[in-house]
Amino acid sequence: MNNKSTRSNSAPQQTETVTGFLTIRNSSKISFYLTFLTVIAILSPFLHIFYVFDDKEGIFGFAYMSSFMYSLSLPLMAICSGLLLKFISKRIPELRVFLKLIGNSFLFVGFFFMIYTFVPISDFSTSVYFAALAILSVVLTFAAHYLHKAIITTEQRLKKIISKLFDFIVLETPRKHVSEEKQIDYVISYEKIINEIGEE
Amino acid sequence: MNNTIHNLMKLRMAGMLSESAKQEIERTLAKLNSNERQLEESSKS
Repeated sequence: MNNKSTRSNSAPQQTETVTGFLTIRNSSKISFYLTFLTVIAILSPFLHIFYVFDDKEGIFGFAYMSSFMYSLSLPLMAICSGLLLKFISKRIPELRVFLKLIGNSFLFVGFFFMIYTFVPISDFSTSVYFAALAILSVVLTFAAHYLHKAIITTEQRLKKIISKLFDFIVLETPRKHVSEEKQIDYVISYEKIINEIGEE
Repeated sequence: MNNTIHNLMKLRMAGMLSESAKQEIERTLAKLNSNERQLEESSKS
């Protein structure tokens, strides 16, 4: 044992979580960020309640504060949901691109209506709405493509794993690990399993 | 036996069973069946 290892008791402790290897400090940072986004996303649609009974004159061209708050709440919810999806996308490699695209779509919709809320105009022109719809259609088409690809890849990978396990059960085990007098019992056992799986 | 062959085909088509594993199972089952028949015939005679 060297001196270095005896002095390493002050090093930050690693915690193994189900989702990966994270230090305690990082995981608390992540949970704070996630909790913050979730709380904003869930509570924002209720913001206008503060002005329901005692309404005041609105800002940014809104007649009432309650209508301004209501107009602000849904974009806030979309932006927080988008950020949550983008965060989750890094944790799920198979759905990474799909979740990123969906997250970006949420952010796009959120910022689109956020601009609508803060820019003092009565409404966007029809061409702006159509342009937004066109962009969203393209993004969601790509997202659907990547989701399909992720599902197919997962299914194929699972089938490959099952096939390898069958190879081990059928080809390797009887030759290497089952005695000659037990071969018949072994074959009858795996035949039963094959029939059970085949009839699922 | 026929049921097993049918299920083997299904698993092979689904990509869950390799061709070599399928052939090995078919060979083993055929061998088992022929052994059983031989035993029956010898017990009758």
